[in-house]
Amino acid sequence: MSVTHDVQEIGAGDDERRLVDAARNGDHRAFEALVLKYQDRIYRLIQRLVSAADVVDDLAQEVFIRAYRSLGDFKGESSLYTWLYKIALNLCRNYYRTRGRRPAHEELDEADGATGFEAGGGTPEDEVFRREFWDHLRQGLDELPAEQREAVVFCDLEGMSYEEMANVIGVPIGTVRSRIFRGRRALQERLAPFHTASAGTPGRST
Amino acid sequence: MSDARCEEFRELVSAFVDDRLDGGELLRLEAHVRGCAGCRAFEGEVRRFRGLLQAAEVFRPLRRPPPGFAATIAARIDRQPSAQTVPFPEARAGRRGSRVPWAGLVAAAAVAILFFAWSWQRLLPVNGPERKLVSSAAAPTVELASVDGGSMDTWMREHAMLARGGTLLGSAEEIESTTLRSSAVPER
Repeated sequence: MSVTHDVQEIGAGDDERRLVDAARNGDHRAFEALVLKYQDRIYRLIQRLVSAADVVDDLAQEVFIRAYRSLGDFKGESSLYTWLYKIALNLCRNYYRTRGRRPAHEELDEADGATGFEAGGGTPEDEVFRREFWDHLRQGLDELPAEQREAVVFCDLEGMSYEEMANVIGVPIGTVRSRIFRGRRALQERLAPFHTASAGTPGRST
Repeated sequence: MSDARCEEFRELVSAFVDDRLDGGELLRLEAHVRGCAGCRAFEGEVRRFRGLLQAAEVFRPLRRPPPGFAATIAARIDRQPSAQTVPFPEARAGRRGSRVPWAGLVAAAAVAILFFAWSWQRLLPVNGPERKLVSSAAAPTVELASVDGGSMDTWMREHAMLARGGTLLGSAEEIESTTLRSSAVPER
């Protein structure tokens, strides 16, 4: 089966399964269409799981390369997105296993060059507050045990359901619930000064 | 209310904030928080914490993939064999699944037969016509050494010769020297 796709025409309503089949049969354009469809979400997920900005691009590329290589493993029992999530999660875990205990928040600043902050309005003190909060948040996430970091990121930032998380992480829902709780509590303790200083958001003025 | 008891309920509070609590657990939690100001406050803290996390990304947006990201992936896979021809891990596993068990079964059967034969000889009654078998098998090593020693030696020499890429038609000196070097890295 050989299908030619105009990448520009691929949208959310296209038949994903058809694209997967075509990619599996050697249609690289079909696979590129799948990359285009999911690249934003995978890129976002990796940034949430790994704070070192200089490795995000490599990890995101590796997710798709591995997906392509093992497309034959994808049975369609879960969504392609969930499958890609699992690959991304494994790669991020490997990254944490191999990088040691270096403080990733420093890597982030070095790699970024720019601050990356949007003009949030408010006073210069608000801006400082937001940056400090961000630094503490990233460092706090980085220092969490991997399973708690994943749980907090999936639940509170990715907005995944407990069932989706259980599927991606491969643990029972009760374990998911417990990890979310412990991860939140650990991060809350780390960010306690911001709780008391903030009126509800990192902007403080709101 | 004890801290240990609150610890249990705070996990329920966390799940409640995610709208993941119902039935008996919800009723228990409701009964508990009626009399526990700490756990009531904890619910607010969890909600605020979630708000803080999400707000952080508003002020510090995540980066998007660079332009040409998908094209970069496409270029990388263009340099690889197509997905159709690449032996996927699953396919390889499938082939292993069909070969390895058979090979394992054959090997296991051979070992079992040898073991059975050996055990049979050992377990035979001491008194009886088979006693000779026991006694003759009592020194198999000697027999092997005396009868097959020469052929074993030849076999080892031949394999040593083959290992270094030689032929079996070398002179006796060559074979001898090859055997002596058999543990060394092949020279060719």
